[in-house]
Amino acid sequence: MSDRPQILSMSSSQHEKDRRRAAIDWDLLWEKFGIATVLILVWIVAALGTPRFANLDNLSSVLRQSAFVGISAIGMTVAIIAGTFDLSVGSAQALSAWIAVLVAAHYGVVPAFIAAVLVGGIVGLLNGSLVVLLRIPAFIATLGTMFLISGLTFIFTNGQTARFNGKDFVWWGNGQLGGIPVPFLIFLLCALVGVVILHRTPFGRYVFAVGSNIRAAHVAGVPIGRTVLCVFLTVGLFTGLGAALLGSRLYSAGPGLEPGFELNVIATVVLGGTRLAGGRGSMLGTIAAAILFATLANILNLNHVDAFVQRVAVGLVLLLALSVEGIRQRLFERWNRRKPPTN
Amino acid sequence: MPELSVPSLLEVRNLTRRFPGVVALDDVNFDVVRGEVHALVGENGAGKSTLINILAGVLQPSEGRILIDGAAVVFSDPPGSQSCGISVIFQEFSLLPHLSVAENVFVTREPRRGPLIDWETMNRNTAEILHTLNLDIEPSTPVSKLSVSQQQLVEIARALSSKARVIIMDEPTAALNEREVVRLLEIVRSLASSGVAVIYVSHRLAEVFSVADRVTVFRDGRHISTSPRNAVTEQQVVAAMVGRKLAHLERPMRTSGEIILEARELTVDNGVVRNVSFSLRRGEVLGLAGLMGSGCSELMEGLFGLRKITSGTLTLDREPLQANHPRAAIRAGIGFVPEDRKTNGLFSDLAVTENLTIGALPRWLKSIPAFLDPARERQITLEYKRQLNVRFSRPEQRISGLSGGNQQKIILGRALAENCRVLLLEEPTRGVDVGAKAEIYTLIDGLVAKGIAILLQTSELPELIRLADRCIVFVAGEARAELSGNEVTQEAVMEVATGLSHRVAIRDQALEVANGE
Amino acid sequence: MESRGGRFIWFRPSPVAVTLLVVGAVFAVLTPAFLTLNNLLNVCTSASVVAIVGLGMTLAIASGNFDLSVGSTAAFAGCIAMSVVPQIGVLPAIALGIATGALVGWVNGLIVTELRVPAFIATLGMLTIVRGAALIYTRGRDIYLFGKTDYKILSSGVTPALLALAIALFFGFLLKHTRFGRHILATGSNLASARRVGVRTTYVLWSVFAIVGATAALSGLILSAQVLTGNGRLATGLELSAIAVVVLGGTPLTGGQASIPGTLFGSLLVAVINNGLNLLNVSIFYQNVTLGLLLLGALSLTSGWTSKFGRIASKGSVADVAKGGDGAKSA
Repeated sequence: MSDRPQILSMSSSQHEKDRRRAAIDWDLLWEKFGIATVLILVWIVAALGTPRFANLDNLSSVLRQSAFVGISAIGMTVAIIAGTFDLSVGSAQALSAWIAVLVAAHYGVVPAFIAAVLVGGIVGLLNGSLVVLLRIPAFIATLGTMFLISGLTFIFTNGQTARFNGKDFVWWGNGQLGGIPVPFLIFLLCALVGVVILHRTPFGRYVFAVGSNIRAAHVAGVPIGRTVLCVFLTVGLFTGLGAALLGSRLYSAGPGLEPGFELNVIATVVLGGTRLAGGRGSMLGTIAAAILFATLANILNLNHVDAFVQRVAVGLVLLLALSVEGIRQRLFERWNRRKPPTN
Repeated sequence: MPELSVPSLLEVRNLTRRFPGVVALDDVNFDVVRGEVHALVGENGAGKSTLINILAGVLQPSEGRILIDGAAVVFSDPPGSQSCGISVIFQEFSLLPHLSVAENVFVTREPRRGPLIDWETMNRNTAEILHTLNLDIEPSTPVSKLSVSQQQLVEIARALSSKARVIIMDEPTAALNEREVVRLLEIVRSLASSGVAVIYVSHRLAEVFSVADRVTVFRDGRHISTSPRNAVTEQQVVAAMVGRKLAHLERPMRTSGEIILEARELTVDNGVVRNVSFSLRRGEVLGLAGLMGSGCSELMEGLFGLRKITSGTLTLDREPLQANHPRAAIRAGIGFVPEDRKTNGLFSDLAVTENLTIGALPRWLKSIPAFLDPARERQITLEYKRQLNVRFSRPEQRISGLSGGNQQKIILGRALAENCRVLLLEEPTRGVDVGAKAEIYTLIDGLVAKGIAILLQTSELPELIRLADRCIVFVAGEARAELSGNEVTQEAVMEVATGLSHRVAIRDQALEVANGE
Repeated sequence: MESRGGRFIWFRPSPVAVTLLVVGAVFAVLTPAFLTLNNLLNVCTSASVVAIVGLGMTLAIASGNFDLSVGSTAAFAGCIAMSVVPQIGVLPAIALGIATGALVGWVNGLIVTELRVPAFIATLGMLTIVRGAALIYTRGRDIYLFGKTDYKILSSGVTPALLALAIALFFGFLLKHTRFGRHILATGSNLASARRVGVRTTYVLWSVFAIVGATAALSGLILSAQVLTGNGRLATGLELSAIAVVVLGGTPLTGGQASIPGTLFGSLLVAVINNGLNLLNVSIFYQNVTLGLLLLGALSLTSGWTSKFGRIASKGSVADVAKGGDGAKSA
């Protein structure tokens, strides 16, 4: 047998190289826990600065508020990790909430929730079909669906708000379990489901793959079409659930329910550390970001800050958080004048 | 031929460029004189790209100087470098697809009448330059409508219009067919004879030796040697590039089994590959060789469902094969290691484990419910780590932290994990250091010994010789010749791929142009 | 017409123009009120408002970006202008309003080019901030303009249409005959290449954002002139209409090309449909549905337009550099 190169022994320097390469990935740590840390800090500062903040009732209210955007953001996190997004969640939410209220009034709570989730799912499938089957870019497809659905909502509702305050129904959006608001518990549950989907199912793995490198995903045999379709379905289902809770909370629902909702949802996901480019994401970050936004609104409210200033503050926070990333990149660049070119 | 006493037009002295963790250029000296073609060769990671980017103004040196006509210059961005008379043609070009040829040629220097662009003058000047390049297209054509070789000529036209004194070309023939290569090399020689200094960066020694006046070798960021073309042989250059005398490349004896893959009259994408027939046996390596654009990689892609097989039949293990999508191909038992793993293979953000198991996830799910089994995936990853001798510290770490060779092994592992019977390898050791290369060859030997059939497409001839039992040489989309056993030599393959007569013609023509005015 | 470089989709019968004619004809037949001078004037006015901001958006999209904050900018500019008319007069107020819009755009440009925040998120954030600023400025109340009817000029008669046409001509001219305009297209065509060959992409993009802001402001001024009220809630959703008319007009979201006439036709189409439906006493709610269907229908039919998923099958050639993803690009 001829001389075979010695490949079985690893020199110690190689060991060293391996270990050094796996040094602490600060990037990843920040992505996963950054916003949660910020949230805790903000809460501490708020509790110290604004006495009424640390009030149990108030905190409960903050958590409750965070759930409505939060649940939708769970689905949106999946979408953004997959490298896409959905602009129609606002209009889907309005329609689903209205259906929920209507069905609750006539058929009861459980059918109401089921109907809302179904409606959300149908909108999601519609979006998914447009993107996958008709090859329309997600931006335009969901923009178009947004117009479509909001228009349909107006038509179905005749511009009217539906109301229902049956006790069993409104408990879901307004009640508490062991001191914790029900919507928030559901939010946590949804987050758990989201984590399981992303990290324990093949679908979740495919979501990461598609978002990370869609071309490689194609070559590796990932069922891209099916995956993207299910991504949009997921967004729709979660949005539907959140919508039902919102309708329950407000005792009512109708067209024009919450303008700017989709942007809030996307902002929550991005602030939570999930990159718009896809391939990476943090569900924990989404939760923290949802609570953070609700906290900010709450703090401003407690301090009797103008409602309008609140809007500005929220936008500023978002931009600031994202600018940090940009500034960091610029500094890195100035330091290094670009990454080493790869041959 | 330029005389030795001519002062350098462009010179870099003690040029060093550091990045966190790596020194890309280490105290490098390099120069080029007026009217010469100076070739720069080296393996991946040798520092060629870094040098090009520094000269282009895209990167700044950490140390060292750049001199033009003997005087030190500093530029901090591409326009700065261009104003010094340097023009760089990157491998992926710097063209604006939606704009016309004339606009690309004159971008940022558009002739104007007042505030308005002077289209007539621009188009006219462009037409003149195109004429000297023998490129017969309308200056108003959008660049996206041109072929790759035409686009390259537009890049050269832009360099010419900016009155560049130094033109740097990065792997210019990568995307050209043999006729276009000949034309390009003629143009390069005529550029040189008109006084332009050309820095020609390429892997392809045959071209280098037919067009260059001097040859410089870089290795691991260092300058190794510079010699006049006549004073050095290809062997010596290869040795300098690799750093050691290439041991006699040895292919182990192989016994091949029955035919597993049979192709009859395959046509891919309506003619990119035409009427190709071959059979592949278990336990053998069949090589596909040919210049870029000759059809080898297109054929591979067709077999894996990345391109459309428009006619012909394909049989796998005596059953007809309809691989119109990578998923179908994988299910049928065909594995694929694509070239350019960064674009086509790696999920940089994902973990090593995830990259490994992505192709065959359904195999490792828990039964009820059908969830992922991280513990099992980890175990499998460690198993492959052992088998393929991949180096990483934890399976959960991001694959972007691994070296090129180790990344390639994981991609290979991915195909193996799919339990493939036929393995398609596209440039399996591109961007892989020499040590890992040898390991991968040994791995391939092992796979073949186990009975896997391998189809290998590579542009590195030594690799082809080392691995392939048989070899089909492609020219312009057709299978021109089949060589087996001892017939598979570098010379034989190159002869068919380029046509020996062509090679001689290039050299002769080049000499003519150099001597004849 | 021979193409003298660049893409000027003019004499080719574009789908939008054809659709416009067809739809117009249908409405003309269905209701006699459609073709009256007064009605057509209305159509022109509403089309012009969207067209003006749409033209700015066309430049942004051609340069490879877009601006989601135009609605807020429009409202903000309208409020500012309305509030100062009594003090400084109509024309200066208009100038100030436009300057405000340009300033907002400048800030957008700053965030996108210097802070490297993707345009999608940057303008998203600014949308909230500027809208909030508008509401703060007006303290949530409306600013009325009594008596001063000169301001109404902005929205009366053919003024909006003339403004829209003038801007269209100017932008078309800019894109076709000036270095700056060509560089806008170059930046959108391939940002990396443009930088490498020396195009000052930072300057180009920054300027484009300022221009978008200015056009948004103008639209806002016209809207506020229509009701002689400065309202912080004005023009919500204008950004999406603006993008819609650009896309309908045939300008690809991937950048590098622009169809100015397309945007005009797109605006007209949307205005005609809304108007026609109104005349037919179709519920106003159907307008959104129609717009949505239009958008989706137009896009599913457009060839040469592939989303990320359509593109994966083809290997990237040198010319295929439109890596636009799903619209979230950074400078």
